[in-house]
Amino acid sequence: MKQKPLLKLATLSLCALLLSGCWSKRELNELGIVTAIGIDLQDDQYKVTVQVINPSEVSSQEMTTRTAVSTYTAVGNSIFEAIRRLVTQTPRQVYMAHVREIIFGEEMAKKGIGKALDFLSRDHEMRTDFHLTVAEGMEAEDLLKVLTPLERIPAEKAYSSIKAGEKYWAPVQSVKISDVLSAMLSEGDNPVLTGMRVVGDPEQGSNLDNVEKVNSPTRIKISRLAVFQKDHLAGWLTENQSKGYSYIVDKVHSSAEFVPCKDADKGGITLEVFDSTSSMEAVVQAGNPKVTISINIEAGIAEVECPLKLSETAVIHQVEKQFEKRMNNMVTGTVEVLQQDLKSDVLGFGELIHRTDKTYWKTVQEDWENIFPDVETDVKVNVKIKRTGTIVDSYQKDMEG
Amino acid sequence: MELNEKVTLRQFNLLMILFIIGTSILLSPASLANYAGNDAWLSAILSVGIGMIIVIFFWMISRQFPGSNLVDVSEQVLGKWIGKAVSLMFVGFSLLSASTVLWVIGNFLVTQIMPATPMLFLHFLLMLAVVYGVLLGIEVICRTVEIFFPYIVTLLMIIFFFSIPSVQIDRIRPWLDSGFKPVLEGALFDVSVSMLPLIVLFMVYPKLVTDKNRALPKVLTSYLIAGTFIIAITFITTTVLGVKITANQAYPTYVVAKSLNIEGLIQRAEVVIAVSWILTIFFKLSLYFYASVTVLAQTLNLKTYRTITVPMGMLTIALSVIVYPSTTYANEWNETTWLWFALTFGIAYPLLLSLIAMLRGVKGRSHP
Amino acid sequence: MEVILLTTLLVWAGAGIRKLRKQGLWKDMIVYACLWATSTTIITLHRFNIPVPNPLDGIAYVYQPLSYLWKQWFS
Repeated sequence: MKQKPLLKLATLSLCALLLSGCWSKRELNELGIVTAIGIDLQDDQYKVTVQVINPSEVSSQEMTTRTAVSTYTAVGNSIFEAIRRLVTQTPRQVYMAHVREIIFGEEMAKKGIGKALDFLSRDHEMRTDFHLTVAEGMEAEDLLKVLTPLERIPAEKAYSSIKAGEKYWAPVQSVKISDVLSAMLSEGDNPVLTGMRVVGDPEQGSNLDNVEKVNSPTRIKISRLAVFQKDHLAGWLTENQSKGYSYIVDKVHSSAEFVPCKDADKGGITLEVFDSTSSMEAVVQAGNPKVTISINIEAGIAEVECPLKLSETAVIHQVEKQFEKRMNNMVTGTVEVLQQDLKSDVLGFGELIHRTDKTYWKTVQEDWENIFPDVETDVKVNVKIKRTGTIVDSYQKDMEG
Repeated sequence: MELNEKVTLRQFNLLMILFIIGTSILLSPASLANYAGNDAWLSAILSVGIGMIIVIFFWMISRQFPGSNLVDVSEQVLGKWIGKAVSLMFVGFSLLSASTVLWVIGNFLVTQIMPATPMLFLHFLLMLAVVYGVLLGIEVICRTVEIFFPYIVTLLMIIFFFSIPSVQIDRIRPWLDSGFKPVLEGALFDVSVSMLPLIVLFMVYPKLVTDKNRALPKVLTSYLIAGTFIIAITFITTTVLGVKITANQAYPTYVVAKSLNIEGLIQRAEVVIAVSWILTIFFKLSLYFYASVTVLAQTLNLKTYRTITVPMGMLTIALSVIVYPSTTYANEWNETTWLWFALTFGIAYPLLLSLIAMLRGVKGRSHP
Repeated sequence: MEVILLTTLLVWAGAGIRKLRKQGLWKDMIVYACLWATSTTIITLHRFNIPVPNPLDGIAYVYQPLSYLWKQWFS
């Protein structure tokens, strides 16, 4: 057995196997990279809109007259079917791994998004780092057609807006599929989704001249939060209520808060919140659950219009008190709206009570939706002003006095 | 059959660690969360505790029959023919385990990474490496373990470390929500998956490991390292993903790696998990396969196990294609039957051998 | 495709058996041939979609009473 022809042959054929590359390879020029998926309902069927990158537009240095993205829409009995049906329109097979946004039309959200989430978490090509959003008052299809300035891919724009908003503006929150799923599956919790809407005329937004102006007439705006009852859209929070919600669930990194002066004509004071921590505690006494929300805010003074002598500790204390009262109202307002109007436990009170008193929870678990509106809440807000910025007193004070 | 290879205790310990975390690292969190809910991590701790007793039990058996491996012991204790029959059944056990493990890795690759590649082809490529490794001998496999062990641990540590910011303890509270019984059930299932198969190490430890001085503390320490990995990964998946999502995932650890994102610097790291998992499962598969081949060769008194390695590899591939017709079948079978199957060969079999040996006064050869 | 697969398997098996016969290892050769035959049969049957009895079904049957007990206890 000095010569081993068979072995050599086997080795060679093995090389051939490995050299030919991957089995299910898909080259970049065969893929239509999807950046956003919009899901709507149309006569009991799903209408799926995808926003596909136009690679030659995105990568080229020169400006052309073609748009950076194209949208395609298909209708199907299921989302997967609709996406596969897209092949009849798109020149390329769509590729889902770079999806940034999933947008549900408002009508779809009202009917329930639970069934759509199955596909989003089952498909292997979908990742988990996209945002889930609801198109406020419109179909997702229309929202996806709007072109955006600055960032040439609209989905990328929305993604970075949400990211930035989450950091600097309290009402905005990024919502991932895992957040929605765990809130939806839990008996004592409900999900919220980020809302998006179009300012201006959607029709005009799909034209390239929308981005040719300094002030684009049609824009995509990250708006307020959509409150869900399990998987149905229950209603919308206003901007202030969304803020309150973010403070309660401890998702605020930084934000701006305004309170009017004592003499409201003169304007107000604005704080830059740079740290907010909140904690919730529940107690069950004599079969009545009570939740205490305490929020600690550290802030600096960002803008003052009132004639105040901010160099005095007493004045700072007074401002702190003013803000505490205002924040308290805002947070209480949010809780009230959630309990009375929307009747949806997005704050996770149920889970909280489950954690603190599991025997009591067992008795109310089934009926939680009806008990939640009656849960007594107590809000404690503590504002600490740490800095006054680069100047001390307000100029207004000197001008007037 | 001649087995004149030499394995150091250190190598043996590393092999054992990889064998334990082999499939568990990707699959255990889901089943534990499924059984024990919020207390998946408690269940994991309990299973490591039970596993420790099992390891000590195995060590006692190895002390009772010094220098005899499983086939020797069976023949000495049960007589030539019954012993051989039992050994053949053990071949069946390890061969089926090998093919199920092969199916598991193939299924993972097909589901998560390469959906268009035929499974048979993936099985063939992986088995080629395993057969080659076994042909070279356990000594070579063990040295490979030594080389790859640091990589595997580093890769897993990366995932652990970077998941810590997204851990939310609240997700697994309240503790012991539905009592202790589900915790026990989960623990027993995990024991059957991770620890009971350690019985196949009886084809390595008694005859091949050279330095057995004060082996127990060292073996137990490395066992606990492996256990820590299982506990940590269960804890992290349930606190990062939430219990219900973990329970519903086919490969929760992979999903955790998928959702890692440290300020855009470290993201999309799931292939890291895939690579380390393929490595650990390669060793688990090699060991099962090695056990089945050597037990068969020794039972049939062949001169060397190497002649039958290639067709055994082929048989493993063939079985791997038919054992699990679908993922649902696999889960159901694992939940209902695997526990008993593993208990029979992992506990009942050595226990019976030990008891009968004591009754009949048989002792292992004093000189290996 | 099937033909190539089958031929490769058979050629491979033939080479192995010839080598063992030359060395005079009769027992090894029989085991070798048996294992090879079994695996080839299973793979071929599977390729042609002919149902092959699944050994796991048999094992599940053997342990049926025990798994039933288990379910009773944990429910």
